[in-house]
Amino acid sequence: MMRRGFILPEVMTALVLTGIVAGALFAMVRTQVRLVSAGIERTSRADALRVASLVIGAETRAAAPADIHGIGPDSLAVRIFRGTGIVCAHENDVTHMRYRGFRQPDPVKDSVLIADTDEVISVSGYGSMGRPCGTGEVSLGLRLGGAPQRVGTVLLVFETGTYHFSTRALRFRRGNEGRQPITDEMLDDAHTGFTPSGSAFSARITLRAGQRAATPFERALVVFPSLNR
Amino acid sequence: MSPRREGFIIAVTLLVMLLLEVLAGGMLLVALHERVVATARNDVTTARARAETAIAREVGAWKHGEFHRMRVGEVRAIESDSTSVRIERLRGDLFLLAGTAPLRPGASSGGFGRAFLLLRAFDTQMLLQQLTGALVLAAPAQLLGDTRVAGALSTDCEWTGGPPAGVATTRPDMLTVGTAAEVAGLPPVLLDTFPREAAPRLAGLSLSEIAALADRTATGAITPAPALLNGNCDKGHPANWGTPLESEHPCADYVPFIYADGDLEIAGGAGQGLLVVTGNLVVRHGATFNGVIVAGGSVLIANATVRGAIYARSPSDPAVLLDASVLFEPCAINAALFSPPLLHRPLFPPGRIWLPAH
Repeated sequence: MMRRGFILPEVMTALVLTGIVAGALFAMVRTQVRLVSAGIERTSRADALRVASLVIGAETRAAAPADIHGIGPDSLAVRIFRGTGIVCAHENDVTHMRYRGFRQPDPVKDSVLIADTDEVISVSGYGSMGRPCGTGEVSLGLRLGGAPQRVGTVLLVFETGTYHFSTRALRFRRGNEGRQPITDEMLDDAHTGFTPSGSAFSARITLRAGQRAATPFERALVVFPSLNR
Repeated sequence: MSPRREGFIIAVTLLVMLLLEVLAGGMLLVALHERVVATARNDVTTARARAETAIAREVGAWKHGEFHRMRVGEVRAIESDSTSVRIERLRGDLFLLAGTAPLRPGASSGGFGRAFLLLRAFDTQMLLQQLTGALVLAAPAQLLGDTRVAGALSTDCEWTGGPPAGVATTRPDMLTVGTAAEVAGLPPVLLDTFPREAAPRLAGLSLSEIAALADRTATGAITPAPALLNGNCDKGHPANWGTPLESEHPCADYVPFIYADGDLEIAGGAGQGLLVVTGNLVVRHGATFNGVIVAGGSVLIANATVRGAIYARSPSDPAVLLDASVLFEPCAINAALFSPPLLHRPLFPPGRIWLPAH
């Protein structure tokens, strides 16, 4: 009898101990999951801050004053350069050039700017692509408006678009198209925007309140210097 | 305690430790990712700044590179401190400087920071090609009295152009040669059909850019003469245009670029160099000038000698030579276009200097 009666406290003790251990484990796992989630969110927020400043800085570093078309509280209208060509030959009405860029010119949305005079000319279409400018060079033929450009002239292919801080993200809009997001929706609209400053400009970028964790760098005031200003 | 119970606790402990290690590892990966991104950004920014600095260094040392002697299309690469600058003459008046710096100094592979800069320059070849005769004209001209205009090549100096005419003019029907005047050359009078850049641009540059390159400016009337200061050529003296008459003189090697915004009269004396006059030009009273004269208005040469070439650009203002001597002289022309100290300084384009790095 003594041995049978001893079983109940033993079982209860075991249950209590198991509960305590399981509870501790659950709390530990939940804390760690929260930590991981907070780490991921913190990385995403830092990326949003970083990407916003990097993209705008890269696009405007070589911009001249004439390339900045307008600076609003939440928008920046600017020429965005997609490639550089150096005229090497003319064939009929086609201008051949050595070309290097982030992408091929698109006659639908691109224009061309003569680098040393800042004169803008239109692109009406592609020419033949068969005539190389030189060994190892990528040759591109374009039909350009206006008088033929002298051999050696530097042409900058650009499109005009607008960067917006809106709906919690940095977005880009070209023409009448919709605004395409560049960052995750991590920004605080009320405290994010552009500020003109003489011939330069700056951007105040603020992250919206985090759901899980505070980020060490919640906001940044980024001044965008330009080599040509 | 049975062995079975001891095993249970060990298993729980190991499980907890494994969880902690996995989670700690995850956090470490996140931190490492941030570090890699931050380092890469720093490397790119630093490399780009080093490329830009390398370009700026070459611009500062431009005169030592003799880049104005490069042919169109020629490329020179300059390596220094693990950076390189590639200088290409795109056009006679346009240079492209491409700077490259590795992301990690000393590394032979990996990414690079790049920068591109445009420079404008005086296009010597363009002006040389337009000097097709001793006297180049676009307007009515009269050669009167004992005037002699001769286009001939000497073997002393290199000349890359064609045989020089005596008078090269777009209007031969409006050229009057007096009975005592003499015109010689290959041919003596050339119907000039050479395509010329529209005034007021000269050698690819605007007049304001040309003025920025001048060693000295002049207006009104002047009698140039060499000047000394403590036995050395006084290049700061306003009337010192060097001397073409005394080869041993300290100022014999001083060949300035003189710019006159408006009318100019050279009343005697002697000088040499490149003379650009935007208005009317008068040379008289026994004056001697060696080099190239470019005049935007009328030209009157009376009882004076010019060795080199005269380029009268105005299509309407007449040129009159009276008892004058104008002799095509390649040595004087080359000296005038290659020797002025400031003529081949680089200029920044008006619109933009730095190009996007693609």
